Amino acid sequence: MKVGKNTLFINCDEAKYICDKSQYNESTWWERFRLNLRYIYCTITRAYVKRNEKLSELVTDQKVDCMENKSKADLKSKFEQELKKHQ
Amino acid sequence: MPKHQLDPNKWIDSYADYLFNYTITRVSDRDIADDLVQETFFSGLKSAANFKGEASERTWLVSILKRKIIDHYRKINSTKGKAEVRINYSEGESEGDWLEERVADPYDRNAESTLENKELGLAIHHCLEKLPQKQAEIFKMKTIQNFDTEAICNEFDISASNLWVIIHRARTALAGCLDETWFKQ
Repeated sequence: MKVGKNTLFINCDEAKYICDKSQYNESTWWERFRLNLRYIYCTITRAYVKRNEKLSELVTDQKVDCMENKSKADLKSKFEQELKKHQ
Repeated sequence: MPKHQLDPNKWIDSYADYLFNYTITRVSDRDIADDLVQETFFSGLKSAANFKGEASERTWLVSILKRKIIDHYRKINSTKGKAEVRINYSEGESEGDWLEERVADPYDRNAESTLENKELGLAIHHCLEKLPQKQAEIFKMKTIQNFDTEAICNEFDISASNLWVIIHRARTALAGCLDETWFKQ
C-alpha cells in the first residue's frame, strides 16, 4: 500500500495504512494531517482509529510479553535434540 | 479416540510465547521464566505417554508449568522466605500488628487489576496463536519486542510495504478475536 504524497484527501484503505504506522510512531506529520482530515468526516476511519488505538493500548500498556528470539532459538535447538532421543 | 493429540514438533512455535507470558507475570524474572518454560517442555516430552487427550495440548502444558512455578517458589521459600518472616514479626513494638497488616485493603484495586492484566495478556497470546505463524511472528517482533521495521524486513526478506500489509491483517484479526473472547465476556 502506498499513499499518494500530493493528494490532500485519502481513501479509507490509505487512512488505515497510516493509522497502523501511527501506532508505531512511523507516520510522517503530513500523513497524520491527512488522516486527521479524513477522521473528521469518515465514520469508518473513526471506528478503525478508535479500535486500533485500543488494541495498541491493550498490547503495550498491559505489558504483554514474549520470549526473546535468541532464547527461543536456543530452546528450540535443545528441545529438538531431546525430541530425537524420544523418537 | 482421544479428543486431542500431542504434536511436540509444534510446541515451541505454538506455545513458547504463551507459556513465557504466563510465567513472567508470576515470577518477574526473564531468565527464571525461560528456564521454567524449558523445563515444562522437557517434562511434557517425558510424560507424553500420560496424556489422555481430554484437555488441549496447551491446557496440559500449562498444568505442568503451574507445578514448575509452585516448585520454584517452594525452593525459594525453603531457604530465604521463612527467615525473613520471622525477623519481621519478632520485634516487641510491632508484635500483634501482623494480622491487621494482612487484612486486604478494600480500596486497593492493584491485585484485581494485576490479575486482569495477566488474563488479558494470555487472551492476547491465545488470539495470536490463531494467526498464521509468519503473521504472528512479525506482529510480535514489531509490537511486543519493538524491533525496527528494517530489521524485521531483513529477517523475513520482505519489503516495508509488505510488512505493513501483514501488520494490518494481524491487527484486524487480533482486534476481532479480542472482541469475541475478551470484550464480550
